[in-house]
Amino acid sequence: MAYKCIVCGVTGSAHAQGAALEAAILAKQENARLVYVYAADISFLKSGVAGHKGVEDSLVRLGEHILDMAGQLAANVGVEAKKVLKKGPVIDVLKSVVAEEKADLLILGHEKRTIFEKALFRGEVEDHIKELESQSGVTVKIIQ
Amino acid sequence: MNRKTMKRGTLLLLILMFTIIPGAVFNAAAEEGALTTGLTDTMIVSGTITNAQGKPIKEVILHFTINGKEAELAEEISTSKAGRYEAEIPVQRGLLPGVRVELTGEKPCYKTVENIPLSNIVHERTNEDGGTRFLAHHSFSMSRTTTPAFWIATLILIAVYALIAFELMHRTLAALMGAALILTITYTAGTFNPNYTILTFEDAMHAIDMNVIFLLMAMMIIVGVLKKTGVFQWTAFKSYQLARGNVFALASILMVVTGVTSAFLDNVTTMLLIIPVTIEIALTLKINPVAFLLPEAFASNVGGTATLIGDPPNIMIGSYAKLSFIQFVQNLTIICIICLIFTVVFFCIYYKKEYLKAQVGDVGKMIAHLREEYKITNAKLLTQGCILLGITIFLFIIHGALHMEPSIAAMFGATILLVISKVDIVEMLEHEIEWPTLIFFMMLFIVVAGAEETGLIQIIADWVKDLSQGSLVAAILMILWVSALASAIIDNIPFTATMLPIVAYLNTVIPGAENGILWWSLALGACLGGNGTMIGASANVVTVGMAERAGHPISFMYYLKVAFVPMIVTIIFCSAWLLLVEI
Repeated sequence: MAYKCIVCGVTGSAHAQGAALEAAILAKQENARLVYVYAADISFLKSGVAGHKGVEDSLVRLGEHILDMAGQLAANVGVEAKKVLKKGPVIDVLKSVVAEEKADLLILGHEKRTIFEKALFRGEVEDHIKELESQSGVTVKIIQ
Repeated sequence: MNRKTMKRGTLLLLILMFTIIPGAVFNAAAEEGALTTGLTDTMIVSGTITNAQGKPIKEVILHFTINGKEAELAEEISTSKAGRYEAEIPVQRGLLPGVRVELTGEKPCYKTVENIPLSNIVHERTNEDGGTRFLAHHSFSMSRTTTPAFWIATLILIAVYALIAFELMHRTLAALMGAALILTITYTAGTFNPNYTILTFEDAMHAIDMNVIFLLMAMMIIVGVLKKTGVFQWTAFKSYQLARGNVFALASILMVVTGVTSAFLDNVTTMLLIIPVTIEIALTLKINPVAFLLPEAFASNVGGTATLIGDPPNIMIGSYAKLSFIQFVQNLTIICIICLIFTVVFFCIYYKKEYLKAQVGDVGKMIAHLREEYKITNAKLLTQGCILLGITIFLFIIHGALHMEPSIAAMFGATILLVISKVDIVEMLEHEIEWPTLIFFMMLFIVVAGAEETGLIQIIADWVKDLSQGSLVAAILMILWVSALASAIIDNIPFTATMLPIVAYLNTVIPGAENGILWWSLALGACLGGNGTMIGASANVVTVGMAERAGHPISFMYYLKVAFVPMIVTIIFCSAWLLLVEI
C-alpha cells in the first residue's frame, strides 16, 4: 500500500527515535509527506503537585529539542519532515494531527510499562491504538 | 438636597438626640441599679482552665450557682485563649462568705465539670454604700471525651490523606472537601447538638497560617520573574561549560547547582527549569537522562532542607514554631552540606558505568550550541531580580532581630521587584502564582485544626510521648525516622501539618526538648524522607513525569532501588548529627 502522509509520534527514547528513523526511510521509499509529532502532555500531574503552566512550558522546550533530533534523523535520510508540537493528552494530539494532515499511516515507538506506571501515567497510548484506528481510519504501526 | 429635606433631617436628628439617647442612658443606669441596689454584694471569681496536659482551654462556658440556684450574670462567662476566666457574681447581701457557690464548666469534646464548690472566699473591701466585694480563685483541668465530632474529624483527616495518597482526587479538592465538611457539620448538626461541633468559623480562620501563604506566594512571584530571564537554563549550560566534557564533573556540578538553587527557591520550579536542558545534554552525550535527572531530584530535596524557605515543610515549621531563617541555617545547613557531598559521591559511583558510556564528541561545538540556545534573555531583569532576591535573603537573615515574619520580607522583595521590573502584575498573578497550592495549604490547616480541636492530635501526641517514655533521644529518633518513612510514601505537606501540634506538645513535656531540637528532627525527616520513592516529593513526581515524557520512563521499583538506600544513609547522618551535635 502506498502512503501519502506518514505521521510519527516521537519522544526522546531509543524506541521512539528508532520509529522516527523508520518513518523517515518509509517516507522516502513511498515519497510520502512526513510529520513528526510531540505531545506536551501533563496528565501525570493529576494530584496537583506542581503548577500546570510551568510543567507545560518545560515540556514544550523539551519537545522542541526532541523534534529537532527527529528532524535531524530524517534529514540524514534525505527527507524533510514537518514538526508539530501540541499541548494536550498524547492520544488527543495524535488524533488531531492525523486528521489535520489527512495521514494514512501513524508510526509509534513502543515502550512497555509496568502496571504501576500505567496507573501513574494515565492515558496509555498503546491501549488506545484500536480506538485510534477505528475513529480516524489510519493504519497504526508499532516499532518495538 | 433641598432646604425642606434638610429641615426634616435636622428635626429627625433632634428627636433621636432627645428621645433615644437619653432613653438608652436611662436603661443602662436602671440595669446598673438593679445589680447594685443596696441589696447585693459582689463576688469576683477568676481562674484558669487547662487540659490534662496543662494547655489552656479556650471557650469553656461557665455557669455559677448560689445555694443551688443559677446565678444571674450580666453576660455569659467563657474562657479566653489563655484559658482565663473572670466572673462578677451579684450575691444577696449578707450571704457571703458562708454561702455555697458552685461552678460548672462545659465545652464540646470535653467532659463537663459539674458543681465544683468554691472555697477560700476572701473579703476584699466594703464600699461606701455598704456593698462588699469578695474574691475567689479556682483553677481546674478538664479531660477530653470522645464525641461524634472526634470521630467525624478523624474520618475526614484519614479520608483527605487517602484521597491524596492514592491520587483519587486533586489534592486541593481533597483538602477543600475536608474543610467544607468540617464547617458544614459544625454549623448544621453542631448547632442542634454541641457534640457535633468540630471547629467554628472563627477558629478555622485563625488556623490558617497566613505567614505560610504569603511567604509561598511572594516566593512564587520572585521565581516567576527570575524564570523570565533564562537564568536557570543558563546555569545548566554553564555547568556543562565548566565540566568541559568530563561527565562526572558535569553530574557533580549539576547536583550542586540544583541543591544550592533549591535551598533558596522552590524545588519543583528548580527541577522544571533544569530538566529540559539536562535531558538535552544527556541525549547529546548519548547517555540515559535518568542518570542525571534522578541525582538532581535527590540533590534538590537535600538542598531544599537546608533553609527556612527551601521546602514547604520548613516554611510551615518555621512559621508555627517561630523559628528564624538564621536558626534554620545554624541547625540544618551543615548537615545538608554533608548530605549533598554524600549525594554527589554516591550517584557518581552508582552511575559510573552510564557516565563512562557517554560519547562526549566535540565539546566546543556543544558549548557553542548550548550558549546560543540557553542564553540570558533579559539581563536587566536578571540584575533587578538578583538584587531584590539578595535584599529579600538579607531581610530573612535579620527578620528574627526585627521581630518580622519572614513572609513580610518576601512580600517586600516581591512587590519592589514587580514595581521596578514593570512586569505585568495580572499575568504574574494569573500564571505564576499557584493558587491551587495556596488553597491546598489553607484548607489543610483547617482540616488539621479540626482534628486538633476534637482531640485526635492530642491522642497521637500522648501516644508518641508514652512510646518515647519521656526520653529525648527516643523522641528525636522516633520523629526523625517516622517522618522520613512516612514522607517517602505520603505527601509531606499534610504530614508536617499534622505533626506541628504534636511536636509542639512534645517540646513541652519531654525533658531537654525545650531548645526545639524536635523541630529539626521533623524538618530533616519530612524533607529528606521524600527522597525515598518517586512519589515522596513533588520534585520527584515532576522529574519522573518529565523523564517519561522524554521517552525515558522511571519505574517505581527502579526509583526505590536507586534512591531508598541513599535516603536511609542521609537519615542515619541526620540521626548522628542530632544526637552528637544538636542535643
